[in-house]
Amino acid sequence: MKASQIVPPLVLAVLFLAAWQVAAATGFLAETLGLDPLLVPSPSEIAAALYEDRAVLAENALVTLWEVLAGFAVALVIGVGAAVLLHLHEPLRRATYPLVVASQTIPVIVIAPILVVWFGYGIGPKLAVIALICFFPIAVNTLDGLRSVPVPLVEMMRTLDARRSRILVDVELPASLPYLFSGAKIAVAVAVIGAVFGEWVGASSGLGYLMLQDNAQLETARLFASVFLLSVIALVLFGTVALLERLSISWR
Amino acid sequence: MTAMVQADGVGRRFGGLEVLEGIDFGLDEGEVLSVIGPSGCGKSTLLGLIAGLDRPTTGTITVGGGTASDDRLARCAYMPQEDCLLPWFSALDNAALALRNQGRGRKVAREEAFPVFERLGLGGFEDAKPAELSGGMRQRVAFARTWLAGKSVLLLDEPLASLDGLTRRSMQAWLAPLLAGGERSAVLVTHDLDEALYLGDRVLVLSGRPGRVLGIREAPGRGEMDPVEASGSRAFSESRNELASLLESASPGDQIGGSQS
Ligand SMILES: Nc1ncnc2c1ncn2[C@@H]1O[C@H](COP(=O)(O)OP(=O)(O)OP(=O)(O)O)[C@@H](O)[C@H]1O
Ligand SMILES: [Mg+2]
Repeated sequence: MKASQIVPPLVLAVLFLAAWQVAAATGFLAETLGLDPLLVPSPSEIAAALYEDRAVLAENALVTLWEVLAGFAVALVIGVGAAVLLHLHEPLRRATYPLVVASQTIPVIVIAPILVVWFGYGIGPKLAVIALICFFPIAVNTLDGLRSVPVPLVEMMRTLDARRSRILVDVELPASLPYLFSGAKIAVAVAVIGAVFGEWVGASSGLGYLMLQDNAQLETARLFASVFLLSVIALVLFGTVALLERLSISWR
Repeated sequence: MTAMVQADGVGRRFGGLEVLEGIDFGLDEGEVLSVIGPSGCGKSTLLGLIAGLDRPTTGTITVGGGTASDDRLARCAYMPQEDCLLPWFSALDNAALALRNQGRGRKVAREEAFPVFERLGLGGFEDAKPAELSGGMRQRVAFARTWLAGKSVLLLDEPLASLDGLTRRSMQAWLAPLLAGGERSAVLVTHDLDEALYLGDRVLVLSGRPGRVLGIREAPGRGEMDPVEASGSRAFSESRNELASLLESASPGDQIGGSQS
């Protein structure tokens, strides 16, 4: 990345944090909001909480990270699998695609409590919530990618004695990779939100769980520290997927 | 000689759109047939029909004695209008695609493909990605890929159309001896009268849509000279004028002609 890409957002972030720091430390923020100053931590207090409670935070962050990775992996396998299946089977695609899209209008948060009833308090319901929200961007993008291959390319392969499986492996899957990565980048970003929702409806560890505890005990500085860690997780995962994309799509 | 490709009363309609009508022609073994006609008259459609990628609405097409689509697919290699190289494969892997499809391992396929690859002047570029090649080289890789499929009939859809004038001339010069070798039959679609006469044994002229056969003419002394020399000879310019007037009679105002015009 060029300096011209990094500097403006960096300046903006520093300005924002500085303004927040001044407003919170002087009590101005709490006063205007009509709140107890305890409820409005400054960035320096959040940083202090981040450092002092690093063991607890790290432990719970690892739980959440693990849930996100596992849920994302499940969505990747099922999403790509479903895309390939629907791509190879035209009638199935026609029949199910509208339903897949319609399913997207059901807020996953609403069914999360039911998932807890079904799968208990273990990692099951969190996996299910994360996988459910990651599934859609991955499956839809991959399917678009598989269908993006120009007809003459497939015809060329057919006259060159390619079986259906070869066309899939040599032409359609590579062509769908950029689409798959676009879907995966959206998926990892929303996966973290999914993990928090999953933990909110029933968990005994994880950053989402910790946030609930801290909220009840008015540990607002640590609560913000958890939020900070959640976005760090999302950003790092996003960056990792973007890096993998650059490495695996070498032909562009 | 036995006919390698035989079309009898072939017609193709897409919904209400009549694209080809009553097409009759035969292609001998080892013969090259150039096909010219106005834009949109169904030239690519005709190649797809011969290849077995599509079925005629009326009439039959026989390739090497077989009439079914699968028979035609098994005997034809099709080079689409765009080069259709796979960007994620190297140049040599693209050329070896058919060999891979026919069941060879990657290493064996590359070894088998290499002599043809080298003969087309592509030596040293085995591992270059298509994006790193010039237009002329991409076209040669696409041709190598078509050739290496080992089919008896080559279907070439404007193989040189995307190239600039000079590159095009030099590509015609190396394509000519390969096609003249008599090993393969070929149907060559082109927009260029000179190219049709220079590379083909005969030239089939199609009318504007719905495409019908306006006539089939012999091409004088094909591939014997270099393309520039050939286009200057008298027999050549006579055939050229004849084809031009044939085309004009079918599609007044349509811009078709040699690369010089
Ligand atoms: N699958 C299809 N469905 C409907 N119409 C089609 C289909 N394929 C071709 N056509 C139509 O048939 C006509 C002939 O198309 P074709 O591509 O064969 O022409 P062409 O002679 O190769 O043209 P060009 O010189 O531009 O390459 C066009 O009007 C095209 O829109
Ligand atoms: Mg065409």
